Amino acid sequence: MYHTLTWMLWLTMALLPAMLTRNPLYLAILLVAVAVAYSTMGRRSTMASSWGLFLKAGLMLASFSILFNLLTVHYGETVILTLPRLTLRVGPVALLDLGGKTTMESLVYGMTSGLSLVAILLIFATFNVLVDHHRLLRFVPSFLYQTGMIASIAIAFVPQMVSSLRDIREAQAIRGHRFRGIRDLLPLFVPLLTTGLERAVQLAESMEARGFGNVGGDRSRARQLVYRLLIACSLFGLLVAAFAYGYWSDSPWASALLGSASLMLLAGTVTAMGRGAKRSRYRHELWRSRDTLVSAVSVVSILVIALFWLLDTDTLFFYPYPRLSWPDFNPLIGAALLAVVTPVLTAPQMRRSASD
Amino acid sequence: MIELRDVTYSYPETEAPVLRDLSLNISEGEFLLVIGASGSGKSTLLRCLNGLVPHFYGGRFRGSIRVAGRDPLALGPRGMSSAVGFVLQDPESQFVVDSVEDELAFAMENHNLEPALMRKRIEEALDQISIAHLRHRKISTLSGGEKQRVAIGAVLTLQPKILVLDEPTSQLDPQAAEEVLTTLQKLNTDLGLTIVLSEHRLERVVQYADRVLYLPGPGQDPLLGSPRDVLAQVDLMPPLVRLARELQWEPLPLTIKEGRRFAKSLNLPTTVSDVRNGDQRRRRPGHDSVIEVRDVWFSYNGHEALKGINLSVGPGELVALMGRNGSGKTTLLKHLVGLLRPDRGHVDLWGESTKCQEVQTIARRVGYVPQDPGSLLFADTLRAELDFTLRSHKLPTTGYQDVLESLHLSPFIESYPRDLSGGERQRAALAAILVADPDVILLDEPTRGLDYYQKQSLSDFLSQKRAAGKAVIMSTHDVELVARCADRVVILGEGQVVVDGPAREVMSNSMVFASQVNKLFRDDRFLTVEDVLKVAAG
Repeated sequence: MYHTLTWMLWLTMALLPAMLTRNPLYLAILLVAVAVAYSTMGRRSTMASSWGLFLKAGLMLASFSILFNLLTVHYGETVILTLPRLTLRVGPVALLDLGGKTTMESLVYGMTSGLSLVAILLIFATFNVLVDHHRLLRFVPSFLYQTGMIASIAIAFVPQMVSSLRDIREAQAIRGHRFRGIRDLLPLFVPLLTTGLERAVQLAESMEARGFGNVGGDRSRARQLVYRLLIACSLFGLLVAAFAYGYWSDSPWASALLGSASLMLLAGTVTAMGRGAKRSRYRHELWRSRDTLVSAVSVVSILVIALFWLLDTDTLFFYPYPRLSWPDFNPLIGAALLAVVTPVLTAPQMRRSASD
Repeated sequence: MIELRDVTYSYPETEAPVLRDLSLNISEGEFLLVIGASGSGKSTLLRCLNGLVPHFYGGRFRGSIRVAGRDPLALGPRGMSSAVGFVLQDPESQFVVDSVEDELAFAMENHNLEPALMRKRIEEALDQISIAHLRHRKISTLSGGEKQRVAIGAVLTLQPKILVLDEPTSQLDPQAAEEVLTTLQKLNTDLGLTIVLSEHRLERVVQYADRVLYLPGPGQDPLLGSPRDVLAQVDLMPPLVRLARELQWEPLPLTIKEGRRFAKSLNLPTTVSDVRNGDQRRRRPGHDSVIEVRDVWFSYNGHEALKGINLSVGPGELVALMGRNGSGKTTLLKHLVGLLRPDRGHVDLWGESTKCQEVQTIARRVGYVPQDPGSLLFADTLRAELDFTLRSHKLPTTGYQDVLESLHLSPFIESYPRDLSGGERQRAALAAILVADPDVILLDEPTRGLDYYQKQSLSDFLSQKRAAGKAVIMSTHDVELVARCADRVVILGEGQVVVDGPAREVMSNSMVFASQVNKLFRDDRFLTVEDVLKVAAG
């Protein structure tokens, strides 16, 4: 329906605020927008069943986050109730400090964190349903392609294994096999493993016979070493930037600069490594005017969120301690979040399948 | 185009070579059919042509090969991939991606072709094998025949000179097999592709082949010649050829059309219907039924698989379930052993409903052999497999000599079941179920991948079981097997019983389900070669 690059920009646009903000108003808007995007575009896809799984996982994580925050954080002024306190110490360090004073503020903070987790998972779920995985794989850098390909095949094996396990269970049941203990797993496990292996050997034959594994490219040791060092450097740079942001969160400029420099170094190295690999990509996708529109909106939305984050952290970051207060609301951010539904508005009338 | 000189090869950790001193010359544009019993080295020979043997499998190799001016021994399968396209038997396990168009691009991406060229070749391949309408489909939603055609397209994009196919239709139903074979014939005649194909069902392909290579197995000399010459000498032959050889028809007819001329001049007596009268395969009226299916409805995932099925089967009956893929044959069989329970209606076994019985209890008296023997076998030896079934049913672990004898498995009692060839494996699965001596035998597609000998011995075995008073129900596409041994044919269509009647009547009234011999005479007295010979002799 849209170009893979468009979907990647959309993912960035949706994911950025979900990770940056703890403001429940913004998160609520984002959640609604993602749900609308999914229900209008994703439901027709063959992958649609995965959405429920993501939702369940998100709700579970959220309830865990709420409970954990409630029991371990003792700040805040509005006490709901006082529980017996349980402290686990190793020497002078308190490893675990459960119960005691539970406050309304910690409950709210747990809920906003949970909301953000649910939003992140649902954004990924929607992306997962809407994007074509193999096309996505073609945007992975060449030297990672091999690994990505193998991973995608491995993932495709899982449903096959599930269905052959069902066949095997039936086949053994009609031989009178009953499951009583660990020993009875053998008649299920051995055929599963051997059929899986036989299938894998056949697939490997078919891939070899079509020339898979023609890597070629620059393989001199010294150069590989340089590449690896550069990658390590850029990853280290990213790490330092993240720490710097944590320590001096009031002036994020330095860390933002270091972070983007490291990212650029990483991208450059990866491109250079990819240039050596002798493998072309078949990208037969059309870039339509609606792709330009959605991408432009995504870029603007990303810029708005990023600017607010850099210049005015408080607006995005809602902090309920020490006393609960009503969160701020900036209409500009609200509008930037609503942009998540743009693909729905510009999508063609749904006559064809979502995979088109 | 292909030249083998003194090729001898044995797999790792085996002594006896699979191929011995094989020399072969195949010219450009030829359609070569490779035949031979299971385990005679067909697959091995085909894998030599693109270097999978010995590069992928290891083992000891002697001799030399030239294919399209290249040396597979030096280049290996990757280097040969642009000259030799290779398609495997199983349509399920040779796809890398789930989308048709991307699958076609895979081989070209590996060869680093320009995007514009890839685009052009994909369009060409889609047209050459007439699958343009499938280009945006997911591979998992395609039928078996469509999958095999996509697999052929996926190797065509490299524009190979030779197409090698290892039993590409053995997992397919007759219609799908026809689709694949006509595609191959078109590629051979229109594009001049050299095609090397191994196949069990000779009656379908022999008419397209220029030459036939017969591999008799290790230790004997292979036979290479025109289809007529080879088929006149080997004992692996379709019913038409067998009849023609018995009646000494010259020149040997290879198609029904060629055979009709001889059939007309045979002048068989028209009035005597002793075949029908003397036929032992008649439904004995008034017997007690063993299986009673009454108005059974069943649906899964919102798809109605069975819609009001009625069926009654008695002891000593051999029933063939036929019909298209997806018509509900397997679903019905699973109901009869209690693996599935009807949504509505009843399945009674010996007067007792399956609803309140455990599968394991039913299985004591109803033996069900699933389609894939691989889901059954797990033990280290065949003996252990049989013991496992007997122990699970709490039976003494003795007395399986009879089963082994009648299935010709006695020499394999101590072998690892998964090392057996396709046909032997199928029989091992059969033995693993039938060792408990069930009163009802259910078989799901028992002849997939079996050659003529093995089909013959299977039908003998089933007739023997029927004579012993067992009820046998098999789902199958194999018209010849049905003609040879079934009493009764039940044809399913869209989850309903379309036809239920005596085999002779049903088969001679149908175009699709008629056997080769019946197509030749169009006379309900003749279903099998034996039927004709009996009348011709008397």
